[in-house]
Amino acid sequence: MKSSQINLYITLEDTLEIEKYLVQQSIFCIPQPILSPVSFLEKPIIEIQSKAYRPDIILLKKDYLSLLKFHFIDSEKHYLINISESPVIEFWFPLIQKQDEKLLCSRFYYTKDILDIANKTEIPKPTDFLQIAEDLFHWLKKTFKNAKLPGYEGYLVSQRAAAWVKETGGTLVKW
Amino acid sequence: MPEKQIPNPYGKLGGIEHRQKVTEVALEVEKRGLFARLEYLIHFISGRKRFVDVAGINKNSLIPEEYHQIGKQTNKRRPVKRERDVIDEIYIEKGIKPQFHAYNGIEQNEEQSN
Repeated sequence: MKSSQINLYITLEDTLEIEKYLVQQSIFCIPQPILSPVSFLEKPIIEIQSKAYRPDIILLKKDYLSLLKFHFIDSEKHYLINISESPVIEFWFPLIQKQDEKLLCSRFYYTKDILDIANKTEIPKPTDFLQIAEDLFHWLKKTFKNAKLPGYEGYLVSQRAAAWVKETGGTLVKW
Repeated sequence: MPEKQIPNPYGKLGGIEHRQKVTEVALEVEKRGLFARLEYLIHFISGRKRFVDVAGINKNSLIPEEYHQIGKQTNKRRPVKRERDVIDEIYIEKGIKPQFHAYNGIEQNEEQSN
């Protein structure tokens, strides 16, 4: 399985910029978990962040709704979108743990192919989906210039996240 | 002109059996009430990085509490050497021993060489 990911530290203000970009691109956000694979919600990221959803939002173009695949988690009685097999991008949004001023790492992630079990092979996801994902990653890198904090090589740390560390003395949590 | 050999044509998450096992493990993690995160990036103090196949994230702290590595096993049902190395490396660095899940198959040559 081929995939791509960006691990980054961004603030809630940065998320608003991301939201604007997604709206411009007609990409919508689905909070998880999902109670039914035939009717699920589309919500702004900010609203998802403020409610008790999972931290992994699914970014999706409406054209691909019919291509979505789901996992049913029987113990939890809910569905999750199968990221590996659907033309979607996973976004773990930024979370600040207020009590100890910690900012958790966000991630954008998508896989580039799907499993064709009948032919025992992997086939690429739709070309236009791959282009959308690539454009998003390009936009993220261009928009959020890396503050290049020492010790955070390999992560993208936005200017706002770096300023937040300086102002609050908070920490960027590394796994 | 000979065809160029690609060292890992399937990318980080490996071939078809590997991929199916990754999905199976991720679902088990979710069923136990953790968030499953695929191809989880771990940075080491040395600056090197590794991708763990599946991480089980605690729903409240959002900190990983399980790591799962999927790979081949030997005749003696041990992880092959490259997987053992990854498991040891992560354990030493993070203090959490990755759980190994075999998707194969036996690697005969590997076993003979050990």
